Amino acid sequence: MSESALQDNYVPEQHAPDPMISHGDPTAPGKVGIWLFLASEIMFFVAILGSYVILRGGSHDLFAEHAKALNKWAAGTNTLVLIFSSLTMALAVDAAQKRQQRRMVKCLALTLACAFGFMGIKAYEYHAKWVHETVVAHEGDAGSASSTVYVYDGHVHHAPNGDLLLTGYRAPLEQFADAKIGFDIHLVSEHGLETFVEAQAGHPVKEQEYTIKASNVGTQIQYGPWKNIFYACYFTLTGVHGIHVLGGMIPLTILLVQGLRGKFFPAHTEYVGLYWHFVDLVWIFLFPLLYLI
Amino acid sequence: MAPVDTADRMEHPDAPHGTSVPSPHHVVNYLRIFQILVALTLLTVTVAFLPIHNELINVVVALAIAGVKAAFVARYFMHLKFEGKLIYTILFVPLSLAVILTIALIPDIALGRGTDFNDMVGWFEKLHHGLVG
Repeated sequence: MSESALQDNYVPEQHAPDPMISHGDPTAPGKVGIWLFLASEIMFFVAILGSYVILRGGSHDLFAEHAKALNKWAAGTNTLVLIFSSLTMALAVDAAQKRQQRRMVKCLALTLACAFGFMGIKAYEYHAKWVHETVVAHEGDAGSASSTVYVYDGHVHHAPNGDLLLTGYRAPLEQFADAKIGFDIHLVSEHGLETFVEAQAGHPVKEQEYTIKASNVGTQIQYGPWKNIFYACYFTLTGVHGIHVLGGMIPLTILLVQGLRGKFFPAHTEYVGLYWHFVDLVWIFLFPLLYLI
Repeated sequence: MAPVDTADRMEHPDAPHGTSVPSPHHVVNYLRIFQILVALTLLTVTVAFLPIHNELINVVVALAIAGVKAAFVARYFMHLKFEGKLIYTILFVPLSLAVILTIALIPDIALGRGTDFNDMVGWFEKLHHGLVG
């Protein structure tokens, strides 16, 4: 055992070349550790992505239909944001290794800013789903001959008196029965309802704003994970990935603060970098699988 | 493997020393890799907007582009190109398990034992046409 190993402040990390400890393998133990962690992460993401592929294969039309409502532009922008943050992270590692404080701090700050940007765009996307609802409500006096039950799908705000202001499309519920296609609130999509209304009308129909009295609402469902199996997959995959981004922001912040204090942790910066590039790599697969196909 | 940089240790006695201070011998043009990744992202988005109605082609092209992008990130940003056997051995295990897992799940689709939504095949098609009967 080397003498240094007996000291109180022994940090194995910094003593990797000691052949007694590393058995002569040239790879730093910390790097082996982070790669083992990434190996377990690969299995984790393969498992949930594999489930997604199976569920998509089992309900192909449902997935294809509902994926249309996702915002390709927001997700595409987010792809570029993450790729750019990978660039700045790689440059931060390089700067840390060369002990260039200003450059390292600048690159770490840019990486962290991209992480915030990514989560901001993600929040915008989630919010768009949060206020998107399918509503079944009647219009006119309940039970009277003039009362009609409508299916609405669109984006909702609430008026001060609790009424729903919905921008989207609507079709009378009975038209579903007339067309013999059944009705399931979990399956209805905005695009589907639009094409249904247009097929019924025989011409293109624009989305409109409807005011729905709160007391007239029969049932309503938000585009959350409970909407259908597609949204369950969408929120699980992007949510788990988002948690990984949030998790990466913690060591990035620590490295940035230490960098501002003039401290360098080149090895640790490299390990955080490896994790960060992995998070980018996962998104590279999520983006086409969820948004593009 | 590079020898331990003793000169650096003498200059900065408090600095972490040994090979865990990665010495950047390999020069990577990160900006070039970034440009390639941006170009591939634009390509995959463009392909998505092309009127290709064959699902299989769409999926294969999207995954192929994603695979190339992932390879660039792993090889250059994650320095996999410059790693030794140990890291490749660690990676080999989950990657082969990933392939096995995916293959093992295929019969589930092939046998049509997916989800209850299988009953809904044609539902959206009918919805789009708004047809009676």
